[in-house]
Amino acid sequence: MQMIADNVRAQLAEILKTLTNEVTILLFTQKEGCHFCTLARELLDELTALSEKLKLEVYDFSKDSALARKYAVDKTPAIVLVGEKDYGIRFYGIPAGHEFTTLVEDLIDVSKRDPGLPKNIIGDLAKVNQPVHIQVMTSPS
Amino acid sequence: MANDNIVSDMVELAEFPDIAEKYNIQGVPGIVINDTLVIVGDMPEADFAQEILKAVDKGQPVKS
Repeated sequence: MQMIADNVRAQLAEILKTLTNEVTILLFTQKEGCHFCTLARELLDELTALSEKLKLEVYDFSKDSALARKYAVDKTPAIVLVGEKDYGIRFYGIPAGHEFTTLVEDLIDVSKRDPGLPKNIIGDLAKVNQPVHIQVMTSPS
Repeated sequence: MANDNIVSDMVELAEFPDIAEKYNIQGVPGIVINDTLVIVGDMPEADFAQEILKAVDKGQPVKS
């Protein structure tokens, strides 16, 4: 099944031309009990085919548990975006609907190695000196 | 991305209903910082940065 419609695919290919540096997308899946793992794989296969700057690496949550722990991945499907380092960006569940837009925006930011925030906010966030775990709860749209 | 101490997850609640239940999420987007639901709905970036700083302050041990 094609996940990304032809007209969207063409638009997306244009947007992804703005990617400057490589982004590696790590996808953690598991065979049992993960209803959306296959769809997430298909979506990311289609997305990463649209740009040479995007690399997809698929891991098994159980077999590659050491890597899952390294990235603090605790459920599947899990998507981790990595630039020249791990920026702490995770998507749990299939990023469809509005979340797909968020994923693409995040890919662009990671590719630029720049969160695209105003200087005063960057300054505020620089004060954070201990671990902060943000979870943004979304629903399918 | 702005600070290596900050990790952010997008969680699709339809696939993880136990998480919706754990934090008693009634609306989306619901934003949980360090295991506490702090915001339901959208907010400007600057205000959100302040919420993060508040969460950090709360997490610091109380000095006697």
